[in-house]
Amino acid sequence: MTEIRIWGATDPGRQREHNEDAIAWDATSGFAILADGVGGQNAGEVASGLVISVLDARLRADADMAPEQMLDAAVREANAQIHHRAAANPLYSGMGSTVVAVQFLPKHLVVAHVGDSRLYRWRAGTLELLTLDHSLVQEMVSGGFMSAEEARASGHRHVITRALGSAPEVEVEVQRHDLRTGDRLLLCSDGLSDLVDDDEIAAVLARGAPAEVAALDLVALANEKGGSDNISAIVVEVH
Amino acid sequence: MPKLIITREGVSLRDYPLDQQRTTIGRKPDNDVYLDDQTVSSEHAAVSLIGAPAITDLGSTNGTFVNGVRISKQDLKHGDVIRIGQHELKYIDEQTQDLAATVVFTAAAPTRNARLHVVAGARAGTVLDVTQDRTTLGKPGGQIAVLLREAGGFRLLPMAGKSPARVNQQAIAAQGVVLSDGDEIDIAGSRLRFEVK
Repeated sequence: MTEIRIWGATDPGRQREHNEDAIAWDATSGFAILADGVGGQNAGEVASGLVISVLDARLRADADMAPEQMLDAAVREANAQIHHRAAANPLYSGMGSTVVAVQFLPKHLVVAHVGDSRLYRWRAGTLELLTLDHSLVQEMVSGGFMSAEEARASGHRHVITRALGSAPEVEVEVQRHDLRTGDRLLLCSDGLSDLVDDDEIAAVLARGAPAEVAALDLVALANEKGGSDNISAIVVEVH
Repeated sequence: MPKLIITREGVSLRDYPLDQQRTTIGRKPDNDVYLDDQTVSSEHAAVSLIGAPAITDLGSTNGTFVNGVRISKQDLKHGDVIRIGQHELKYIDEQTQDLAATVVFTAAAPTRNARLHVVAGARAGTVLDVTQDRTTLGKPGGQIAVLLREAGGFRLLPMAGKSPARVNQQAIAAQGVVLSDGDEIDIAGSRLRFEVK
């Protein structure tokens, strides 16, 4: 039986007054959720807050459903709620959010994502990105039109092609991966992955520090590099 | 959307959103930006967003100044201050102001059909129907641009290449250009004509 420890950190960064990222986790129920809101005034916070509240409630409830179906349904429900609120109130018009949500099972994890919030897996010294961003530059990379380096340097790297709230329906990407003792997982917002590269993330996770230390170290690293956006990291230890 | 913040002697008058490809500035009321100022010519200057954002003096009597320098034509960047007569117009481009901000691209439902007619280059004569929300044009390692289906039209956004693709002989700006029927795109050695059916 796999045991997990989870800790997360979120920070407005150095250039934003608001933190539109939101995070939640529960090691007992075995889930972690991270959302990055988009929208003027406080609309981004409202959107990411809705994602967290809907998913947190759904993931705590005993569901008579496969985890894949449950995550898909929960994310689609969050989408519907954000879309509804945005349509009903002009202040929230155009608000949206990304999400990456992971359900941990005894030997597997199931991850659902929309947008450019990411899940990385560090295993035996190698860091692997398990989620591909729903973004313009990722489409260019996947289509062979751009290199990963060009994508990282592109002025359009923040244009996402899927978000919760922008349409009545959303396509959720859901995947299952195996879980091994010694694995470390990282959920993060683009405020982290934009500034801290894979080698640096791998180095922090390789230290073997407790999740709470690693999460804070990663946020601090992004802040040292300018903290241009809100920064969130949730680190999961698998024992 | 880029905009001009208009002030006179330090007093803020209004913001003017630059929502057209060309915006004229002058003392005559039929200008887009009408300045009630005797030192401004009737048709004084124009801001163009076709290609790189730029301001052109239209042969005014007292001149157009960008950051204190008299110009006839000058590219604009975020924060530039244009002085025309007793008015100052500050050029604001939110997109360059906050590069880290996430932007959600929402495709619009197809309303009009568009196609690309290759008029010169390796595949001259080919006609490509634009059926996707996003259509990638160009060559890996060379110029790349993506044609986005937006509410009300199509926008061509430069994605990669040493120099951006050109539309009607003008380099397209970082935020892209909204295409009109008949526009000619030069990209990766080919010329494509954009046609709306």
